[in-house]
Amino acid sequence: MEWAAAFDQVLHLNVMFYLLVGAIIGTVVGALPGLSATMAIAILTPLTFWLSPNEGFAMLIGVWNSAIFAGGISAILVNTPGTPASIMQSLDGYKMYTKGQGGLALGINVIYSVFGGVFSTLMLMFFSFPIARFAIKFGPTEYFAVALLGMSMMIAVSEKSILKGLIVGLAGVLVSTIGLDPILAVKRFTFGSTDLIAGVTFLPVMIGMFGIGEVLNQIYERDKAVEAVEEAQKKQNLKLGRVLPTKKQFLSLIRPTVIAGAIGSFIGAVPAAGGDIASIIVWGQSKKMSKHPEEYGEGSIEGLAAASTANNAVLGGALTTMLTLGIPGDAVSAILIGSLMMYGMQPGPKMFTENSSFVATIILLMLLANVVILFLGLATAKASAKVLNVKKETVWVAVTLFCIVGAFSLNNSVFDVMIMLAAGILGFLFKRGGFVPGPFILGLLLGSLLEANMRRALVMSRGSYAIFFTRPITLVIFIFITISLVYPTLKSQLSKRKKAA
Amino acid sequence: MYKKNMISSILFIILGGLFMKPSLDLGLTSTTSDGVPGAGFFPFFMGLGIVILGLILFITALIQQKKLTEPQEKTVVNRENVRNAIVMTFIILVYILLWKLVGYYLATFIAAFCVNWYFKRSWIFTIGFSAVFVLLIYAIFTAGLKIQFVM
Repeated sequence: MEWAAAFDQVLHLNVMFYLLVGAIIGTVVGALPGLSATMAIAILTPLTFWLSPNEGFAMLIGVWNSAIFAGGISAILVNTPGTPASIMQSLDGYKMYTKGQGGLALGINVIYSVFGGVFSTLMLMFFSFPIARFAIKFGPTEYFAVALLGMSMMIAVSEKSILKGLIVGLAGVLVSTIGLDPILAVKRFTFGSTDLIAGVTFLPVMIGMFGIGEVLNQIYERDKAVEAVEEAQKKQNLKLGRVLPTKKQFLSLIRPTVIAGAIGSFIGAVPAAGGDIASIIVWGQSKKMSKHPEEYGEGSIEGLAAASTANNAVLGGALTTMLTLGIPGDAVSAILIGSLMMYGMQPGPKMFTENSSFVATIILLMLLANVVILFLGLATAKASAKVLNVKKETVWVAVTLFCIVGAFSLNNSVFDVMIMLAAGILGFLFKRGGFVPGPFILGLLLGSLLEANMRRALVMSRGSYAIFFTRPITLVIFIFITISLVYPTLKSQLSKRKKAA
Repeated sequence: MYKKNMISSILFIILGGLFMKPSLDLGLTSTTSDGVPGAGFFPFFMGLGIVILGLILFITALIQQKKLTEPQEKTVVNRENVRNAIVMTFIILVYILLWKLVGYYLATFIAAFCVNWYFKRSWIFTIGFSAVFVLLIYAIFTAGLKIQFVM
């Protein structure tokens, strides 16, 4: 029933239009190094609140899918990944370009990004409803544990320092406590400000950290010598050649890309393990299983196809976790959670009963976005190289001004603009101090879920903490949390010992 | 890096402490049910967590500093980049102020113009970009989405 309603919702001219607009914006954003899908979605989200949920989500899903695929364009043509997820595409893609196979590399990027996206969306379609049916039994203790798991995963993959990830994550949780207490409705840390009673809104913080913060960081880290090398690479203007693979090449890529799709979807479902991690793991795994491992990194079509499949396969996995459990798989799905909340929907198992047709709409939009990318990507594969000529300064100005407009248009509030700006400066300072902003965002998003469910559970148990250790699902999740926190430390200790030996 | 870690750890310890005191005033236990946490419970322990982790970061940075026997290479800071980042932040602040004084569209034009001019883009590009950007915002937000940029 929900699928019929979803088809009806999706096959509207307006929805199609916004999906196409999203795909075009995503392609431009993804192709430009320094602009990420997260940044684009954070900036565009406020704009979508003026549209219907179907139109708004069509645009965001179009941007998300196409930005991840388009990250491969600059990876192939200038050896600089457009998004972190396309890091492994630069290894083989750029080598293919220098060998005069740039067109084929761009074509492989389009076809297998779409394959990865469709594969993971099918996984989402098959697994999300059963997972949600299982998760519907969750009570406050399970939700508390799930929120904690989401946080621990993010902290566990914090770049370089777990300690710094933990500090920043807790700071995010602390900021989430500003405003009305979720149980007793007592004002907390509002300092007399009426604007703070509703708490620190999540979206201006996201826009600031991933928009203004990133722009300031890029300005600060600008290296004109590196830019000169990139400019020289752009001017190489090598022959691109044909775009589509031959039938023989296509058949040889079936096995590695199916495996890449499965691994990518699984990694995407793990909170915080994004496209970069997926493509690194998949590329390495594919190399191990390949008949020609020596070609990897030297212009291997197989290596490029596997990496392209993996980075887009992550999206369906991330959506599975986001929709079924209400915890974000990556930064983009964190924004999408905020977006759903603004539309009055709470991601999690209840969404599959209360808004099941919208869940089906999201799934169909994912499939449709991939169809659009396939045609758009193949038709503009060679022309997309032109996008790379946009100067960094132009991007900085546009992003900065859009961040301000976007933050204001959320609630027509200057207060949101100030929060956005403060978050931007904070995001910049985090980066300069070696802190990653991701755990902060996650803490801010999951903080209220964590607190409200912990206190609800304690209300149920009349203050007894034993409730968290007597329920089997909660206990299993706690074991996962312990593993996710201990494993990275153990792994780094072991590798240090190996190096010392 | 240890210097940065020391400074940031102190700032985080202060942040945690700032939240802990009012959390105690809010109450760690609820007045309505026995043993059930009050409004200050969660922020208090989160603040405490930050203070403890901040202390660990501080001590780790101290140990790192003591371990360093050889003088470290100074990180070269590109002054032009620092200046650019400060100017960009300043322009954003002035832009928000101008928005209130002269209205959104003129303020946006001036901000876009100033940033492009500062980054030494050509005059034609600077004027063209600023005009097109303002028109684009008007078309999308005001004409399309009916958003009024009034403070």
